[in-house]
Amino acid sequence: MIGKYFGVGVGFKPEHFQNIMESQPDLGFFEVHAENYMGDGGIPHRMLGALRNQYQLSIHGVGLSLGTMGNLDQNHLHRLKSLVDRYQPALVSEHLAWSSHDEAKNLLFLNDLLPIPYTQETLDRVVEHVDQTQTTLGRQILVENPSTYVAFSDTQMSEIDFITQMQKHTGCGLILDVNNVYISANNQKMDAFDYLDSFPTHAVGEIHLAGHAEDVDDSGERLLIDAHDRKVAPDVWSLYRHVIQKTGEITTLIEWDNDVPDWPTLYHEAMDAKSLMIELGADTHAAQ
Amino acid sequence: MPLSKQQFSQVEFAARLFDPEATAPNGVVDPNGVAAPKRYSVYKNNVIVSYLEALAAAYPACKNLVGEDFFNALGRAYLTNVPPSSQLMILFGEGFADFVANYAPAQKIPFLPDIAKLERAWRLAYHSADIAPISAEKLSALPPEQLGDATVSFLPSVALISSPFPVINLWAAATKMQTLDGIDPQNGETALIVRPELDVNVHNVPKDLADPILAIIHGETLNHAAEIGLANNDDFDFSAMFSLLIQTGAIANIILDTKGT
Repeated sequence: MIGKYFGVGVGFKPEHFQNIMESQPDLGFFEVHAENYMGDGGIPHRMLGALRNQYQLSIHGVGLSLGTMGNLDQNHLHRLKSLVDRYQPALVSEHLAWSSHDEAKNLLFLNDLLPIPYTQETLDRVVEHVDQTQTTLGRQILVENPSTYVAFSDTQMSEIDFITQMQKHTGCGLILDVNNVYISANNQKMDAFDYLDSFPTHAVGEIHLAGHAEDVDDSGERLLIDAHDRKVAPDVWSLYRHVIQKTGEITTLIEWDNDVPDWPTLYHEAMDAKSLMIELGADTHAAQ
Repeated sequence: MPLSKQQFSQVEFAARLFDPEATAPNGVVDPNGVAAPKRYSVYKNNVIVSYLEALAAAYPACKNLVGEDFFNALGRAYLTNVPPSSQLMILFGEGFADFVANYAPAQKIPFLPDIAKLERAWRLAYHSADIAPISAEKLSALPPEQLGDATVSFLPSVALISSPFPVINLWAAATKMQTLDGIDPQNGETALIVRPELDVNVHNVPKDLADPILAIIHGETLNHAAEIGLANNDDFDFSAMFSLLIQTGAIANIILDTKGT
């Protein structure tokens, strides 16, 4: 059985705070980027506290850099721990990616989710970092499959093998970002349905859905960009349906981080996910 | 372990991200194994754009004053000279005012560094710890005869910015994209930034109070601050200064000198 079901949620944006408080939407949880709440006080914490009083929270880190070949930044890990201790979220997650490195003791932060080659060496590093994170936080984390634009000639194993082994060695849970699967399948010339069918879905604690943009690569071929700036694409909904048909209910999030829409539009996307689960007989006991 | 020629290096990958001229590092390819500079440039673009957006969010008045093209060129130079070193994007922009002060193309806008200082103080105040101003009860319980030797602890949001330019008026106009016409550029202003509750307030402090308030912020006693005020101006009014600090909610606590007496 897949991790506890928290229903359907959306990424929280401060501009929606008033709408949420007034309309008390029928959602299972809100997700926030951990780093946006690592200030000491003020409005961000006031809003997060108010949300936490009424909903479950998912704290989604974007800056821990699990995929760094250097060391995890202990300061940042402890900031994450303070936040998790304070808000006691239902879910804590991070990415299979790197965003900083600590060459010569100077941390350089790159503010993007950068890809790693899939090798024994990178696997060992990621496993070590996931272990460290789970030990420090005293709880399981979910690790998200990436969207990628490049490949590496060093890569020795498939992304699925890498994620499967990482999960097995650390006991972590997984976020299955279906939009990322669609993007990477296009960009890496894989079959998205094959990817989903071989993904270790038994460990998935949350699904992410988001919109993407379209570009072209060096040879003029379609290159998809993980933009989080629009509605979930029909093809991504099809992949989502495929997963839910196989697995039943899974906690599901709509992410919309850029060109943020008005509240009704975002809420409508979340309700589409909920309807799909109800239609497939999956949403049987949504957590309140 | 010796590095093979193709071995992926995060250091190399990272170093090239900020260099507009740089090509893709070795071993970064497309799914057919062919070098893929355009694919790599998606990351370069993501990183630069995200930082320029973060800088614009942190310094909106500066951006409005200089325009988008100038601001982005300034931002790129800042990123190259002050490589980002924190995961906390909400506090991105440290040292920007100092960088602007030394950025040659910005010399024609002499007040830009002070606007940047004000915006930085505003941002830090917005995210500062929630500490309440001193209560009326506590204040009235203080023995007046001991106040002179007392020092003051301020809310963590408090900052004082003294400028030879009308920094508050310029900042307010630029934030609202209003014209700067009618603002006398020679009319210096001192800004006191305080967040007593959730909203950040920017107060225009009378010029002659700047030095004594700064002295108190730096830990001097109230008596010493009064001496500084009087040295600058015979009409210095201590109680006006003190009530300004109380009314703005800047003071967290008043610490009596227990060992001096």
